[in-house]
Amino acid sequence: MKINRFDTVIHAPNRLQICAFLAPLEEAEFQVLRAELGVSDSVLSKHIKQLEEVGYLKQRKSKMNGRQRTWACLTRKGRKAFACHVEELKRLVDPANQSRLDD
Amino acid sequence: MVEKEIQNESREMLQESLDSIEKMEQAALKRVVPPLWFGASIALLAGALVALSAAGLREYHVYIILLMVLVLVGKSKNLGVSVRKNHSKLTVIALCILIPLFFMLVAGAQAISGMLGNVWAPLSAGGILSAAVFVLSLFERRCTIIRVGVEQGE
Repeated sequence: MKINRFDTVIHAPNRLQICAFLAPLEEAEFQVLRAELGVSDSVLSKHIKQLEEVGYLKQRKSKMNGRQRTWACLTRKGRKAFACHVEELKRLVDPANQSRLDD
Repeated sequence: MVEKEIQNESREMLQESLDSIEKMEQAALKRVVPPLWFGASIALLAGALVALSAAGLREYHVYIILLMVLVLVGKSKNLGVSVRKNHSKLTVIALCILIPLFFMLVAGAQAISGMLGNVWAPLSAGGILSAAVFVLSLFERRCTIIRVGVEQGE
């Protein structure tokens, strides 16, 4: 049986967006993520580090044309946690569960 | 405890979270729509591979393969994202047909080289494979666009 889990690490708006952006991808470059989220380098680094600490995200560095580029990808654990979190959110916004939330 | 935390958050906020997830997923998928030049380049290189094989110029294969690798790397680097492999069943079937087609075209071109000549027979075979690969790339692109829900040029 699949257990849905509300993940407080993922649920923070920026981290939720990072996970949502990476979910359909294999990996994405740091600059691309920053542009999509519209945040500064330091803010993005902070959130990436938090996701990395719980094992949801992995970083890879590569050098191209003498410039260091950082790529981020969700780990298997991260993908599973994100999928469960989305399922839980869907369940919670479902009108059938409204009475439970109001209680 | 978690349930309590959730209760504090209104349903509207949770819906907003779901909307932002959808928006970011769409943004990610928009980035992975393969560019037209990519399909055209791979089609041309695959055609060149057939033409060279049919003409018996196998020593040049390595250059074509290197160019293919460069095109693939260039596409990935330009996008700044790399895609999770999730090909449609039809694409897998089409790829399974392309591999035998490659060898059939090489053999066919060698068989008809007496009729069309040593230049036109390999070129024709290469042209056929190029067209097939290009059509497949257009189909894959269209599928991605439909999946993402965006129109071309958007």
